[in-house]
Amino acid sequence: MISQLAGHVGKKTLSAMAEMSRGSILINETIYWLLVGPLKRKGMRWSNAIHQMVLIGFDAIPIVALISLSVGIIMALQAAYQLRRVGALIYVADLVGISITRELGPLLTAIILAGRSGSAFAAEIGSMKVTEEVDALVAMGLNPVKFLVAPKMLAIMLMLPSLVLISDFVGIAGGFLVAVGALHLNFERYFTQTVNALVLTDILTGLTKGLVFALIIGFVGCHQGFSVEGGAEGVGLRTTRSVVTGIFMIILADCFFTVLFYLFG
Amino acid sequence: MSFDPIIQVLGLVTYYGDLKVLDGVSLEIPKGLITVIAGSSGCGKTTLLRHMIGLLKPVAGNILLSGKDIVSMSKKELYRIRTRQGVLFQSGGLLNSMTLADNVALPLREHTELEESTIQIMTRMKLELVGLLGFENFLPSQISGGMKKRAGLARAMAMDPEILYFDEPTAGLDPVTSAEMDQLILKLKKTFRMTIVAVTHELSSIKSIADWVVMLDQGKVVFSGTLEEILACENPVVRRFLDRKPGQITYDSQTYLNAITGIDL
Repeated sequence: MISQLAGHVGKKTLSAMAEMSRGSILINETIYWLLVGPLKRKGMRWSNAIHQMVLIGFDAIPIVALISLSVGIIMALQAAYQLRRVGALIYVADLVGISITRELGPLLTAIILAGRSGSAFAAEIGSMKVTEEVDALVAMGLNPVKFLVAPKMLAIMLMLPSLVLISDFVGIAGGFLVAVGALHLNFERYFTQTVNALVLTDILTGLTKGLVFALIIGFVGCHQGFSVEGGAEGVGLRTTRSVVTGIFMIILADCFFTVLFYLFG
Repeated sequence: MSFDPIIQVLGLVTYYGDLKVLDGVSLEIPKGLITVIAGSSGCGKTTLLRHMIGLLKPVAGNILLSGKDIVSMSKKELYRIRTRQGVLFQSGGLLNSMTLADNVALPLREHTELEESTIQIMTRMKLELVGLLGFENFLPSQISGGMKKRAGLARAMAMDPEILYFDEPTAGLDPVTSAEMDQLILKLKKTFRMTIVAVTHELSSIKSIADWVVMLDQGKVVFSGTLEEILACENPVVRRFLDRKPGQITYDSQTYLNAITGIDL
């Protein structure tokens, strides 16, 4: 009984350590190909990276915009509900502007991309592993990290922060609609109030978070893809895990950064 | 028969979990000939092949390729060596997101500095060799299993390798297509003088293509010699395989009872 328990704990620990070691090898190799690849001839598959940018970034614009608009509207209404009581309705502008740029823009975009792109990475790489395509790449002398992971990482690292900017803009516009349409605030006053409330650091904070979230989504998605074993069921399992782990790690990182920026920002 | 070995496998041992798949396998592959690694399903022949192309690392043992040990070789060296060998996977291993022409051209585009026009001509030459000229713009999902294998072969041939590996070249093909595949393998040997290693359990294939046969059983080499020698071999395991006799499963009542109840009675 005790030896069984010890055996179980040992096996779990070993498999967790093996997974961590595979994860760190992946991170190591990806960073190498991201830094060295672009300097080498044929070191980076630019056309694939651009294709990925379209899939990750351009195609996600409608959903990111729609969700950001809704959240902007919700934020403005909830803020108005509280602020009206103290007669400070105009501060809706500050509240919406700052919380969208510093927090909700990056977080929402990251969660959408974890569901859209992180899962796509895992499913793509995972099914390639099942059909021996990854082995075929290695057998041809092509590094799968360079071939599959590096273009995806490059694309998501550029696209996530770009989507954050779109999300910021649309989210603030959502607040704007509520303020002018429902709260009857003056158009120009609300605009000036928003501009005065926001400083560049707010937006940069959001973009920094966005970049970190992009790294998380990319690594988690690709790592889960390479971890697929067995057949279609394995792909499904790892795809789900890429989304769940991705979102979990995004929120942990967000919490960490928010504390950090609160203390030192 | 004395020959010049291009690959020497020395005392290879490997496990899947607790299961010993290869148990001290030693063999030699003659240069410029067709070697067939034969054996019934689950005898470890595909695992052996994956070790020979460097996809798996053994627990113990060495694999010498032209005198150099690939087990202790660095990743970089391994990738360089792989550009001089071709592998045809069981299901073809084609990249499903690319057309046949792009699949065949991939190693050339990634490893050589050839002009795009030259690459296209070479691609068509390789596709012609396997009888797939005219299918350049088809995706792997649009062609049959036999065609996928032939396209995979065209890609494996792209870099004019010194050694060509086949994993079950005729598995899952109808008798006519199988015979065509065998003819193609013989043609490659005759035209390009390459060393060919094929893993298969198809008797008719073995009889028509093999110069040299290595037979595995339960992770051990039970026979290695020329085709004539194996056909005359008296070893019971070899005979059972060649005469297609089912293995005798002998149970005494006690072991049978233990096996089905799962309890050591």
